[in-house]
Amino acid sequence: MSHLASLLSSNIPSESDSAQQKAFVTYTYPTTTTNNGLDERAVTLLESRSIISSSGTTGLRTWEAALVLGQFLCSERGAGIIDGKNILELGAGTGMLSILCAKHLGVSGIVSTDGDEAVVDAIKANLFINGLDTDEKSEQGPKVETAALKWGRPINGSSFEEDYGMAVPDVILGADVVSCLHKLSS
Amino acid sequence: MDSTVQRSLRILRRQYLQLVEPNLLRWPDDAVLKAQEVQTWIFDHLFNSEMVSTLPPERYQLRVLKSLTARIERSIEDPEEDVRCPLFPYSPSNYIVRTYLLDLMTYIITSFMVLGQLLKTGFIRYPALINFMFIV
Repeated sequence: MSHLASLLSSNIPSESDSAQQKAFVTYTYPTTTTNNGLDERAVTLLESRSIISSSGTTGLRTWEAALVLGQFLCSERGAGIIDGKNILELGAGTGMLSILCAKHLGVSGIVSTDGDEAVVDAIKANLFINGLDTDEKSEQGPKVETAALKWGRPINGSSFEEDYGMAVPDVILGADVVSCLHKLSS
Repeated sequence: MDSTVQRSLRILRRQYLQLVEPNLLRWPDDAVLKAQEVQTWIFDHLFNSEMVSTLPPERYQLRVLKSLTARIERSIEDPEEDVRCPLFPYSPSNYIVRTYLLDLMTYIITSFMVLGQLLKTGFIRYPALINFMFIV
């Protein structure tokens, strides 16, 4: 009773306002070894649900392709590709895949990149929500880094570790990656 | 709760936390929703901000809660028997069903609020004008 009352009295934003606000979304993948389906691999993100493209970026919400790729990575075959590996994600957007890999899929390290700096800031916030703070240099768990990566410049293998704090990646992930050329030229 | 019920509740929770459109949610059967322990589970895992820190937006919560109360309402076959238990429980844990009556109030309150807004934009200027004239 109290919950509905508080919902009612809390001055719920209008449909159009709430459509533009960021909201918590939790994506859950079941584990392969089903403990009666009780174990879940959950990734919680703060994202703008209704916005496909805004402020010159498309990285404000999780795209379907990332969800599907996440599904594959959770499968036995997918997990075999990334288990214990160093990963580079391109066009990470909300960071869903990077967080899934770091939090649940046993990667050694991951650098989550996007072309848009504001989007990269949002990835950091989402890492924090999932207990994967990049600032905390803990010995345990995978290394997680974020970077605003501009394409079109060569990346030197030897300087990669200096720049991104992770050895040269074994696997590059990308789901529905688009490059907005008009934005790069501006 | 048996494992089938638990499974269906977990599916509901996953969809809900992923903000699946309320009309596309896969609900357990109405008869299942009637059970008090099921309602308590739903409250704790879908609406209790003390247990789930990253709840969906309030507007979405409200839409789902309305759908839920409608389902519970629909599941009541024998008012004498069913209403006595789930609708007016004496257990403090049974939050969801107690929202049922409040939901009716909601409609009344919100329609008053809508009416109030209409008045604000249109008619309220008249008394203001009259006041002004009195002051003059």
